[in-house]
Amino acid sequence: MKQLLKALFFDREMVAAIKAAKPSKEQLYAELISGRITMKEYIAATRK
Amino acid sequence: MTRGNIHIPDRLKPFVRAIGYIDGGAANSVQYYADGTPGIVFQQRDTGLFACERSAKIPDSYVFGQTIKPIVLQAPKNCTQISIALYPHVLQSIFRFNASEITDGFVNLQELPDKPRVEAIAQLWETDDPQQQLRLIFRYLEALIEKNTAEPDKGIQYAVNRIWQGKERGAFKDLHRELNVSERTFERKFEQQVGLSPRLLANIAQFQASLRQLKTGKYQRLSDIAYENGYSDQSHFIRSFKRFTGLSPFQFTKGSPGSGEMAESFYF
Repeated sequence: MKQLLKALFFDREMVAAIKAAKPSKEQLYAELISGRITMKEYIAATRK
Repeated sequence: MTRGNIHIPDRLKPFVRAIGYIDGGAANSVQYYADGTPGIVFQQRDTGLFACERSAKIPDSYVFGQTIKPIVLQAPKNCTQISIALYPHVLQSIFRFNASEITDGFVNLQELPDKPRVEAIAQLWETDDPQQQLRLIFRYLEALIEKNTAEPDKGIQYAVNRIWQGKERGAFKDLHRELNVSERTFERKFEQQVGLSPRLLANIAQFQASLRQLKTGKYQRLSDIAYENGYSDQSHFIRSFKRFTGLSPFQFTKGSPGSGEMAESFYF
């Protein structure tokens, strides 16, 4: 567990990989319909 | 194409209110006023796209939300456009996002998830036959509804009908009691599905009724329209009319410079 947390929070490569991961249109749409992001945010994210 | 030869499939009847078709003709401006109607538009890119002063680019296929502010679109010469007018409360059940997200706005269909594939729509302009074009659009909509297992909310549909018939002017308290929900829950659900508050939809219904009377000329004085449509006085009617058209009723009847055909004249 400690190893996993360390990997999640301190592994720079992993953090960079998570940051760079581009969610799919379907994932973003799920966020939109659940109200977690606005249409503006959805469009901005899909155009990235 | 005439009203008689458009066959809307039974599955789509709870969703589709009317079909609009613009084909050819001279360059023109088309006015859109608040009418409680969201919808979907398909335009043929090769013949030119509608232009709007509010937005630099209008895509060739898009979903539009409720209109509050008046809008004038410039139609190029010989353009082709098909619009599907939806009932006020069905946008969220078809597309699942909160309808108020696109009130006074639109979203490009190509920016929505890829399934069902919008590419089916690419075949739309391979034929000149309006019936074939509509069949493709209907197939796309049926697939979308099937995917989202969409059904319009019966309670909100009932509320919209009551408000549109002018029976609930300002009396929303009774409506939420009839639907057995709290006032706040009713208003929140209504805004999510219609994209407007119940009060604003009632104002639009009132405006549309007065607009119809103004266009048919069935009045002697403007105050007749005001009183017959439930406005408290003539200045209340003029303020409301200006809010939704940008013009006074007098300017509207005289035809303001740059005003063109009204969007509703293209609906079957």
